Amino acid sequence: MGEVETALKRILDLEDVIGLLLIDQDGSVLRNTLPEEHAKKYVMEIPSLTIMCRSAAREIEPKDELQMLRIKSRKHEMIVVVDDKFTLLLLQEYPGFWIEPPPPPPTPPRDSDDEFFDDDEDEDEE
Amino acid sequence: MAENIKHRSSSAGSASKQSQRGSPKRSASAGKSRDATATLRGGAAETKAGMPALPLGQRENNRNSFNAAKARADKEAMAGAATLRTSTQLSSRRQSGSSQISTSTKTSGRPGRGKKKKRGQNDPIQVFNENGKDVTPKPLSSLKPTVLSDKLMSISAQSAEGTEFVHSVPIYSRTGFSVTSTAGELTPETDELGTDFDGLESDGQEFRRSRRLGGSAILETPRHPKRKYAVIPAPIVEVTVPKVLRSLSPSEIELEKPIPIIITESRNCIMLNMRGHNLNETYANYKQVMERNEKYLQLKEAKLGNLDNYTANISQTLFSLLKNKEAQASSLSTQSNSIQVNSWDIADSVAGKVKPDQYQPWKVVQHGSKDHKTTNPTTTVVILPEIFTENDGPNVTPPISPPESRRQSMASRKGSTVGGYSRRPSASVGQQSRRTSLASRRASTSGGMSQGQGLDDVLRLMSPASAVTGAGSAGGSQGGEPVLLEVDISKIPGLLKALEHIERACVLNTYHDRLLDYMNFRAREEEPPPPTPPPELDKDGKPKKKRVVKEEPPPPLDPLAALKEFEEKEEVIPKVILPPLEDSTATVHSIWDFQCNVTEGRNISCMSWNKMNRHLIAVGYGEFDFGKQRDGMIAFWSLKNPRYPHAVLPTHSGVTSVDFATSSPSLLAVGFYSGNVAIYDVRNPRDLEPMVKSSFATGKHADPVWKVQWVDHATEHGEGLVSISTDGRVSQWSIKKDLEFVNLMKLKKVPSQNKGAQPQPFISRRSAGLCFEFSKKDIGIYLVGTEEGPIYKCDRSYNEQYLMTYIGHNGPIYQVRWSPFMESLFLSCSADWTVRLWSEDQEGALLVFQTTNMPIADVWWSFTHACVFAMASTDGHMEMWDLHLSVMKPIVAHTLAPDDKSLLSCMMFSEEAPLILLGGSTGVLYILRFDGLLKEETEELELKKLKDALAASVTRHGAV
Repeated sequence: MGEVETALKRILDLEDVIGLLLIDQDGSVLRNTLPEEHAKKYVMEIPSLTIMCRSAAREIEPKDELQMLRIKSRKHEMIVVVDDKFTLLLLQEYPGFWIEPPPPPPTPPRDSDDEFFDDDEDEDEE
Repeated sequence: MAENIKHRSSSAGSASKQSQRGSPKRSASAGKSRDATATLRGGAAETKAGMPALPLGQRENNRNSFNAAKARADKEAMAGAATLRTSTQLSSRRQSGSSQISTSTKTSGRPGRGKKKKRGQNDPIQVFNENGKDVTPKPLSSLKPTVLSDKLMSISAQSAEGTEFVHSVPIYSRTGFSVTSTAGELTPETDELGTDFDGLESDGQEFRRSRRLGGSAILETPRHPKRKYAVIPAPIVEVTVPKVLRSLSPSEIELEKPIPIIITESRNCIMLNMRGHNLNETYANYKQVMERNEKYLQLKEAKLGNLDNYTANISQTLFSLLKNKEAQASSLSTQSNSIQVNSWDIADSVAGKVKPDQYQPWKVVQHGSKDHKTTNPTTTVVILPEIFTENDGPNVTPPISPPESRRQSMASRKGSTVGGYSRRPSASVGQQSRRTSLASRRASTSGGMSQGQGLDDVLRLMSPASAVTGAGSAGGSQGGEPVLLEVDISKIPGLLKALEHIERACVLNTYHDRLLDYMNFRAREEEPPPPTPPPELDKDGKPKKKRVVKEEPPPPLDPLAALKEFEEKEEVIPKVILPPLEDSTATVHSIWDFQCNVTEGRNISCMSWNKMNRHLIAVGYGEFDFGKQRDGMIAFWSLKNPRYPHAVLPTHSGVTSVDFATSSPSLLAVGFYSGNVAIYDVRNPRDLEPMVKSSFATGKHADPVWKVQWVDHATEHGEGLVSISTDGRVSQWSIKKDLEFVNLMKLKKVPSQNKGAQPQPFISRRSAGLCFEFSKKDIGIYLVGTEEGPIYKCDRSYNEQYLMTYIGHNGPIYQVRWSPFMESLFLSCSADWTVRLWSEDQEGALLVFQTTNMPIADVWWSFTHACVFAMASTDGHMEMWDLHLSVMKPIVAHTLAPDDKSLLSCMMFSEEAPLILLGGSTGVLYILRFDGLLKEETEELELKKLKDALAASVTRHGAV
């Protein structure tokens, strides 16, 4: 097993990972561990989104380059790594520490916390 | 006469037919008149020719006569009559001069009357001047006698019968052109006159001939030999008298003889006809004209100097005529491509960032559709011919076929946002717009650059591809299953990196709360009482520990009993008495463990923070026991991925010590069990070989290197590496050419100072060093912990002598640590189950801490709390002590899960966060977070607190 396969397996072994989708630049699915119905939708929706995001990133800072796209939904988190030659998408169960707050739910999120979360949850372009 | 003429003219029209018939009688009279009319006839000719070569009077006459004729022809009776009268008068007046001729003609005119009559009709009028010259003007064009003129002539002949001297006025209809015939009629005589007029003869011949040709048959006139009037055009108007005649004296003969009068005239040729203008001052536009002239002169003046620049030409150019030519050609095949290009796309292309030629499609192998539960058997995959010549692998177009409707919607949307297709056929073909997402963008940059591939390629590829795509989509619309391709994804460049990123992102999501914990982002002090803020950790370690703390109270009552058991039971000793209330605020919980399959089962022997990246830990794995030696490993763990090390460096020998350098943070010094010392440059973790490594030649240690540490030499050669080994050497290594060492100290045993014990001879004088630490106060001072128990204080300046020897421990000293707050204070931990606190200047320990019956593997001062230190015992027990609170009991203890067989071998505080890292023998790196420690606001206060605590406890201890 090569490094890539090892890494792939490692990722898939993570507990809350639903699946992973590797799409090449032509839109062909190279690897898919998502459920079928998911895969179809993601294949159709994600590449166009990445294009737009990438374009946006480049428009804002022409020498920059989009690397990663993180989309948080209520149920999932989509992590998309964008590259010239492929798009790698990982679908993760929502970790849940925010929507289902820990026992002390009213824990007033402090400002610093908020900032941190904002920073982290936005689509980061590393 | 006037009446006659008048009558003639008036009756001309009616008599024309008769004259045409030409009765002999009439023609006889006409013959007479013909001779006479010759005079006038020339005038008529002259008029036609418009040649004013004759004297004015004659000219007038001739003109008038001609006018008369004309008038008659036009039936302008009145005007004609008036002018005719004058002409006849003039003619008669001339009679005197030319009477001879007239008579001669009269006398000699008889014989050929009939012929003459006909001829007379056409004979020209001859004009003679006073000298007898015939000045009959020559016509410029020949006139052809017309029918009308014949009639008129006959009439005139008729009317002339009655008169003795007949003025025969040549009558030509206006419609006739017979003026030439006059010359022609005269010229025949030149033949008989000889060769004098050769030049003219031809003319005459021509004239005559033309007359004959042009004339009607009726007018054919036989030549009359007797009449020798010849008017010959000549350049010079003069009369040439034949020599024959001159020689004769005037006589009858001479008189009888016909006198040839030759009038020649040059033909005029107008080369230039420029009408000059003379302007009278009285002219109305005089002034304007003069002004214009003036201007013109001025203009000429101005242009005089530079004529080159002034040309005025009028030219007419011809348009080249267009000609339509039809050709047959095959119809043009066109193809339209459109791409959307962003400015940064262009920038990338220009910068050469995107190199289309380097694109290598991966080898694609399609799995059978069954393997992926594809229900659509018609889905096909087509292998296109090579797109780029550089490609060595076939390119596969996987027909991904969503439901038709969706695809169309996608297509339309794409068209508006993303743009068209790329040049790359696999992407540009057909309706697979969905695929343009990446491909079009890429191809937009790449395709544009390698457009030189030519249309042919594209076209050639288009057809099969489109056919295939069509098939694929058609099939796909039924099935709608994405076709999964299995690719050797390890060939995809950058994928590994991407996987790493995605793994990190994923793990960071999972560990988010724990990372917050780690980074101390949640201030927990604010809610200490309620639920004892241990985060919702599923780790059972925490609750257990808590229970330990709570349930421990009873056991402390029988620590001795427990001790007696001598079992490996750590609970025996945890004896920890109930901490005071303040102590209860201190808690410890596990955040996560750094462990993975790679590190599993390996003993963590050492670890080191990176001095630059505070979240990067180098962890060395290596067995301590001689019998269990195996290869070692260095793993670099970072917060970015708690699940997997950032990099792994396998080593041949077990790693026993690591340390990151401070000045160049990428340098990692590693001590091996084999005695080697190596320095790695970890900037490229893929580089598995150390930068430099000691060897036998360079003097490696003979025994395991138990500790390496970078020591700042301040003014000297930067940072030096110091290592200690059980072979008794404390060596400083320098990297010049290779690793070279200088022994700072060769440890020797010193005789025991115990008075009670009797000195025993040493088997070996050599002492084995296990640990050392340089003082932060004086970088020349360092402590060495030995296997035998003593701790030596050494100075770099003296490599033979110890500055001080601290006696107390009975077992190997595993670690010595200077206090970060009080330079003279240090801790040592030993295999004799104790941790001792020493003062630099006291040989005996200030305090002894013993809570377990297991060797204490490591001890560490807190970076932030002057009074706090922690110790890790090899049985998996960790304790934190606070000197300020108690010197008898730890403030908190943490024990690994009972099923965790890990033995703790090393520990570390974090400078960044309230964390303790514990390295276990099973390869697990535990991260514990402690809370609830009381901390003073400044370091001075902390120091003061420490001093106070020491004062209190030491004195008390001493008192005790």
